[in-house]
Amino acid sequence: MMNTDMDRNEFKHVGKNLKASQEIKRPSLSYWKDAYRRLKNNKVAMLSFWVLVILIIMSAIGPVITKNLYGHTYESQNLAEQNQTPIMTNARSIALLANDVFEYDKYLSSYRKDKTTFKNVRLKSPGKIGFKIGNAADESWQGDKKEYQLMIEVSSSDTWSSIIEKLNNEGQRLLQEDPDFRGIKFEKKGSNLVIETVGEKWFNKTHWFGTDEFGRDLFTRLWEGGRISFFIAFISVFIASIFGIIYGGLSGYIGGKVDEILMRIVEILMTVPDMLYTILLLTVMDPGIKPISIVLIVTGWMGTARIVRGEVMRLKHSEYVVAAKTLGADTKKIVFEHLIPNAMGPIIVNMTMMIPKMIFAEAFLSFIGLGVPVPYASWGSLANQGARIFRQFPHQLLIPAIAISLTMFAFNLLGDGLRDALDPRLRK
Amino acid sequence: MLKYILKRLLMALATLWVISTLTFVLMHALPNDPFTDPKLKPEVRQALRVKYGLDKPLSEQYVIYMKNLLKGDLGTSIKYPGRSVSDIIAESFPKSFALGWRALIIAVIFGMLLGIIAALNHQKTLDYLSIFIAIIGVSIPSIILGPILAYFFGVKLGWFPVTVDKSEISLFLPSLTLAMSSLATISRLMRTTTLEVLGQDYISTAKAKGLSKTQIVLKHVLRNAVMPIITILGPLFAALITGSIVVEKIFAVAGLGEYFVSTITEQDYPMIMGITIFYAALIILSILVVDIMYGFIDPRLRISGKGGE
Amino acid sequence: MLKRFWAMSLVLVMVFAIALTACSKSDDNQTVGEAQQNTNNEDTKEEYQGEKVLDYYLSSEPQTLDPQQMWGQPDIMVENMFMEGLMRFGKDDSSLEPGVAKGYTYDEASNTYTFELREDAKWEDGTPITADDFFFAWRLAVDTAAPYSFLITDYIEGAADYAAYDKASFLAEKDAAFANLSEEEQAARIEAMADDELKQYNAKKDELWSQVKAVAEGSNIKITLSIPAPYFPSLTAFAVYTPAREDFYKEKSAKNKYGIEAEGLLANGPWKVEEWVHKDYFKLVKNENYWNKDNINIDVINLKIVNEVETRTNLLKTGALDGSAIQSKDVPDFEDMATLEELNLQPMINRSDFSVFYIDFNHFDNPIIQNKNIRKALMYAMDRTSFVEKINIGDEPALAFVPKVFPGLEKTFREENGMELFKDNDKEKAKEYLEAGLKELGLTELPPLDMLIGDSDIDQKVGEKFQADWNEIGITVNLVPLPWGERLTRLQKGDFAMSSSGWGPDYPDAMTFLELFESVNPNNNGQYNNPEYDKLIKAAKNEKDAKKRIQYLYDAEKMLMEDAVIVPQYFRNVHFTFKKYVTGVVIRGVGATTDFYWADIDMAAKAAEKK
Repeated sequence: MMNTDMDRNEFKHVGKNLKASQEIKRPSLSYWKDAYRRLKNNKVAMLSFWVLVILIIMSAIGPVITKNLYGHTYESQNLAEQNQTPIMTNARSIALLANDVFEYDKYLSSYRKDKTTFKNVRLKSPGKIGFKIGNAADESWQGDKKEYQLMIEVSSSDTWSSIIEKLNNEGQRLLQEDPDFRGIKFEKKGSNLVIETVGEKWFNKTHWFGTDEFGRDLFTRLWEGGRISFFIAFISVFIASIFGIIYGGLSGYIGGKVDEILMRIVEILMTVPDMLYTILLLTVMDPGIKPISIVLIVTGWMGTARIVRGEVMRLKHSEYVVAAKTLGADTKKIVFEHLIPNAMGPIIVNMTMMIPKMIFAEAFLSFIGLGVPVPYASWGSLANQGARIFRQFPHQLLIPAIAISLTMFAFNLLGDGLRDALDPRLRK
Repeated sequence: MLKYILKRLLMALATLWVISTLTFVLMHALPNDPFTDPKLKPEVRQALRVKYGLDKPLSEQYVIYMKNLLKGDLGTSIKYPGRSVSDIIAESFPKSFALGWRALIIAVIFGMLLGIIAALNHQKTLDYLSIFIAIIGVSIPSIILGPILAYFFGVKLGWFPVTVDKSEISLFLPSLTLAMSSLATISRLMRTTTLEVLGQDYISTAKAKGLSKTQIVLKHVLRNAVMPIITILGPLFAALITGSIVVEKIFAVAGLGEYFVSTITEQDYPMIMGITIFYAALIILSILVVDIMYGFIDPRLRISGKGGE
Repeated sequence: MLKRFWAMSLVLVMVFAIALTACSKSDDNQTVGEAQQNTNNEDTKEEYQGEKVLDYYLSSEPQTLDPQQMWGQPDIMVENMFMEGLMRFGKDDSSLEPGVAKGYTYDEASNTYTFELREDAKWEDGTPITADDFFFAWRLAVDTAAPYSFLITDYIEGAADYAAYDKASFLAEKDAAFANLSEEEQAARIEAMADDELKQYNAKKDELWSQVKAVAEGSNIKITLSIPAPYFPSLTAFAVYTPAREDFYKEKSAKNKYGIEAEGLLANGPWKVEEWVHKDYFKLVKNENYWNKDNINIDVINLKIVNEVETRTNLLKTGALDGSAIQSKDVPDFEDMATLEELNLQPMINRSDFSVFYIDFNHFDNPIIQNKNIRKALMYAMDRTSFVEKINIGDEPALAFVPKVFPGLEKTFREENGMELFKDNDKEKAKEYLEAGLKELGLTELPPLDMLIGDSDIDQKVGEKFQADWNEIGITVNLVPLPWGERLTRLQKGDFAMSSSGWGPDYPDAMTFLELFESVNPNNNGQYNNPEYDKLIKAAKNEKDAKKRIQYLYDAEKMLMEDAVIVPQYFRNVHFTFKKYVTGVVIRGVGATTDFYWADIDMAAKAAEKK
């Protein structure tokens, strides 16, 4: 058994410490600090935040980088470098010129046509097989304007093996005649005929993301487009929100008949299809960034107004507002110093969610031909151009599509994170 | 309840009147008129203007238009001479509608499914996976998604027709394209509300009583979590129907959306006003129907007899 | 358990793979001759018994199928299927085939054409087509001031007088005070015309119509022209000249169906419209009462309405269409025989559609662009060749105004008046002109110029390309994309420096292009006004001698280029491809662009492909 007796003398009376009892051990957390803390702990939201920061920074500096390194601008054209890809190859394209000899089920080719496959080939009749190797129009990849013809005669005693041999020999002959030909390889893999031209592969050093139809640098255009898209989105969300806050705030605070009328107006305006405002405004104004932003503001403020009104309605009977009123604060002060700041959480979340919507809306306008005028680029117009040509040059769609989707993704996740962080009820 | 419905109906009519007036004013504020084809000679243009009454003073045009509107006559199209606007709407709307309701069903079923799965597996892999799928849905605009789906599933794989014809299967790709963003919205909403419901006391009680997970979900969670979904169904449905322009273009659907865009850029006044009023009526109606439906479903509102406010 | 399942599957797959490669290996040693014998042994295809069905498309919904009122392209293409005029377009651009008329004779002294109607020409319901059906249609076109009614009033003697006489001229004749009334009062007076006045007016109109020199003589129609027009017979193949039956027109118009629903169309051509679902599709079936039905091979034509070019290409690739136009982006792909063979397509038809695209200048309200040297600087700076080689693949650079292969007197107009009237992409010369122009204007630098362009994909590309060219010599051009309505307003106000335009021929004579810049022409967007030029056009219009006449046109075109009145951009080429089992399709530049009149289709092969 242990001895639990203690000597009273070992303890000393220290008295009351009034100061320490008032001290708060954990640091005091304001609403915003707390929200920030919780947002910081949300890894997904933070990652989204940084992705957005990078996208925005790149939009700011991207065009400057390529301008200084290579002198690219969003509008400088060079048709000799059109439709280049991020990874380049100078292998020549293959096109069938004549074919009496074989039948096939399907014809597959890489988008550069430097590798083609004829699926399930069957011999048909003797005669010619001819290919066009290289294409003058492909100057931008193959580096020259050369075209070659590779043609063989097939007799009825030939077999697949001898045909392949003849084709390869002809290829060899062309290569010996002109080393620029770079070579070609015919092969029968199972029941498929596979043709591949020889060429080097390299990363496109001057056009990191390739070029478009006019030979304009896509890297520069992407970030230039980012500038325009972000600018349109931010400015329209900002102005629409301010207008919505004032409108909704007043409506909610004053209440009664005024509220009834103001909200009825919002309801009516929301019932008119957005398309109508959009196209009407765009037909009255010269095309450009200004009318698009105005259109997005006109169609965007109503949502914010409703949210703010709801929040203000909820908050206006809370104790601190009543207290402020009793102390003689005027309406303006109460609305803008008490109600709006406290409703800021939902407003910020709403703003975050509105930005991707604006980028979408801008893309939609490009689709119906009412986007930013050429040669300016926005992500919407780049994606729209890309969608028209994606079968031939997939990268021209993929690059802006990734940028748009990444932005959407990040804003949505950040919005979710903000909602969680700013909602006091979720405070743990 | 009846009084409430009547009041809402009256309100809807007033809204429609305001909208038609607003559209009329907006339309006629435009600086030019529809007869601008270079192949038309000036005297022909003048003759057409007279034919459509565009030479009359604006106030007179307004009175004539409103009178006809009351009779249900939306006038005749200018771009398609002689065709009545009501006929065009009656003919093309069903095609947009066919896409719209299919898209809505796809969005609701898969959206709810994803949302519930995510909520039940809160902060586990399945949760993140559903969120990921949902956000992908909102992240790819239909101008990109449409052509890609058409190319891969239509041309490359040959599983679906690339345009809409009389067959049911041809409606799949456009409906799916149309449904994607709504699907995402629904699934995220479903996830939040389900999470809220799962935190309620009665769920703990149900658990304590030994109900299986499936029973809890079906009997308690679903019923309570579905309420917010119903409130957004109205606007969502309206958005799906009026927002099908891109899809209609890509999949060659002879719907109303395509008419809307082309007639606005070509300033076919009667068509624009007709379609706008029709769309507005549709939006008001769908919100109204949902509000009333809500009143019937939500027991709290049923008792108080004051739905949807 | 599961592991075993996967292992088993893997083994199975490998066995199959080996078996497959083994099979194909033996295939490699088969000679071409043996293979050929094998394929020849295959049973010969059965004779196809059913209907011949063609699947094609329209690029947009027709605005109207009232033949007198139409002016757009998809409208005319459908019209050509269900209607027929006195003559019909032939297999090439300048030839004509007999239509409702067996043929025509021309009397030079009286400038009169006589068309002999065939007895067996019938409407789709079996009633015979009479001369009155034609006269009714023509009068209708003129009365309603139809877009193409000028093809009647400008040519048939008396028609212009008939068209010019309206209620106002009637009242002015009756009452001298009428002319002094204000515009509104005149309108009110016309509105308030009494019944007997209307009766008198109509009687007067009838009288004027009886003076129009288009008369029936037995089974002939005699038409006297007011001006010499060697191409007149081909005008009778146009929609506005096709007949219309009065009772049918009145019945369907009363129901508001005429020309806008399938039931409001009365065919007299090779096919009749059975179904027309707006913006969706057409179904045309062979007209059993058509006089030449024995030579029409296709029984059913399905036309799907597809606006988007990409969607159309998708349809062609999935085999839902029997042919299609190919957009320039896809041209390299469809030049590859491998693609064509895979899709069972014929090599592309590649031809001019006779459209010329050019830039209009503001000749009335813009001192900078009114300077000829500045215009010439713009003209020479443009690199049209690389535009058509790299961007609008397959088009032709336009170095003159009248399109390539457009008919002239004996050969093509271009061969006769020179293929190139100026040099493409001569930046040095452009700079010289720019300097000279600046000196004349007293400027050191040119202020930015506004160029109006359309809102379509191609319009924007044209703008982007040439904008860069001009930029190279130091001219800044702002592109202003606008829908047509907007553009026209700005053109009329003079609020522009340049405007990108295009023109396709209304009739197969170079006049249709060159009369555009006559000072009175409503389509003279830049309002170019040069008495010298007007004189040339007027002289050509009244000249009976064909050689002298075309010389005036040569001179007119040269004047256009010399003064850089407009700057040509490119001549459009169209590319079409059809399935191998479709033969005899005619693609032309004037009138209906695609014509299946002589087409045939091997349904056995089509059915085989569908499998």
